[in-house]
Parts: sequence; structure tokens; C-alpha cells
Amino acid sequence: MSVVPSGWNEYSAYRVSERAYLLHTEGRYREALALFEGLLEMYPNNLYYRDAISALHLSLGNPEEAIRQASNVITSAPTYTNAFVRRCEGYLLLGMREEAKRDVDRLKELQAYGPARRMEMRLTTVRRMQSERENRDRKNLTFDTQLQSVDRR
Amino acid sequence: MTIKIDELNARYLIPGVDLGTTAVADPDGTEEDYSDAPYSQVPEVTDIPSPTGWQDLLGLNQVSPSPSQIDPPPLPASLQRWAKGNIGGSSLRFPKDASGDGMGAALTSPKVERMFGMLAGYDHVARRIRARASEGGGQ
Repeated sequence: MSVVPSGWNEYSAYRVSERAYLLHTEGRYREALALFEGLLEMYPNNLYYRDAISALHLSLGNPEEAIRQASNVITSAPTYTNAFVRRCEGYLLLGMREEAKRDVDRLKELQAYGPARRMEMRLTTVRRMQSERENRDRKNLTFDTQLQSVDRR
Repeated sequence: MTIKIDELNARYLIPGVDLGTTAVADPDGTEEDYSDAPYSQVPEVTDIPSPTGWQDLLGLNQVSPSPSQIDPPPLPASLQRWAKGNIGGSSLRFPKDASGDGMGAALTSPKVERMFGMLAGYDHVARRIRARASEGGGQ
């Protein structure tokens, strides 16, 4: 049995998406996500809903799902720059720098220089943070090794 | 002999020399007129242009939306046409019913069900608030 109320139409869907958007602006990401997911189920080809879901997954700390949704958008619309930005951010959150760099390059090819520059700066920050972490880990490892050798003596 | 203490000019006082405030500031009490001096009549700048004006113009100072930010939903093309056609206040007939949109199985999906459950919840809350407001306003 259908759960959709009679008289449901494109305008109704638009009103729901508007509500979901407002919930997102209020930081009510889970509720916004639930509404957008329902809409996407009804309109699977709607890129706006899918893109919004990708963004909400980023907000909710699910980069894997954000990447998956953004990749779906890119498959359908290879010039949709927002999707590259979201996927790039997802990759950066997972520390996948090479993949992130590829999306930055694609943004440049699409002449989306503003987003490309911003994501490039994010990439630089992530690189620096990763190298700092690696240095710290290396130092800790050296210190631990020294302690162990002192203990042995 | 009275000793004058002038805190304002204290740092300029030389030991043994009595310099009062008037001596330091303006001995005659009149101001000199420098209006004839070169560059003394520089026109006043009334409207100082913003130093970042050209950057604003080029959109360089615009803060890009964060990767997790969503744009407002676009009005579907069919609705734009519909909205234009109804400007004159003709009858409200929305385009495309759900039944004609080929949604099929999606209409019974748990996600769709959840969405409508939430929407019903929001409507219920809104009705309750309106009812309370009307009760309060009527008394």
C-alpha cells in the first residue's frame, strides 16, 4: 500500500526539499537527511537531492557515504562541480590525498577555480598535519626504543 | 615660591628651569594662521573608497561555501512555467501527480514512509501551536 498522500506532486516535493534545506541550516542534519533520503527514493534521478545527501553525510561525519553519493552524482553529471568538492572533502577526511588531488585537478579543468583553490589549501593542510603526525610518531618510536635499550641495560 | 606640577608637560621640564603649561603650549594664546602655507588647502576627501572594492567586484572576497553546505532547492522547471502562468491568480492546479510520475515501488519504501511520518509529525506540532496561539489570542 502506498504511503504517499493523495495529491502529492512536484510542488509538494519542492516544499519538502525546502523544509529539509531549512533543517540543514539549523544544524538538524539527521532530520534533513531523512527528508532528502525519502525524496531521493521517490525521485532517484534528482541530482540536487543526491548532492544534498552527500553534503549531509559530510556534516554527520560519514565521509565514505558522502564519497559514494558524490560519485553517483559525478557518474550522472561529470561536470557537477559541487559533487567534486564534496567527494574531495570526503577523501581528505579519510586521508586519501591522491584521490583528493585528482578531484582538485578535475575542478581546475572545469574552471571552478575558487573551489579548486579552497580544496587545494585543504589538501596542503591535511598534508602538513599528516607529516607532523608521522614525525611525532617517529619521535615517539625513537624515544620508546631508547627507553627499552636503557631498561635492558 | 609656588611649585607648579604639570603632569602633561612634566617630561619636558628641565631641572632648574620653570616652564609652565602656557609657556609650552601657546605663549600668546593665539593660533597662527597657516592657511597660506603650501598644501594647506588640500581638498577634503569625503568618500574614501573601500581598499578592497576591486576585490569585491571580482568576487575575490566572497567566502566559498563549505563542502558540507547545501544550496537552496531550485524550483523545478515545470513549476517555474506553472508559476508564471498563474501570476494572474487563476485556479491553483499543480503539475504532475505522484501517480503519474512512475515512482512505483518507491511509494512504499521505508525511507519514504519515514519521511512522511516526520512530515506528519511536523504538521501535528504546527497544528498544536496554532491551536494554542488561537486560544491565547481569543481570551
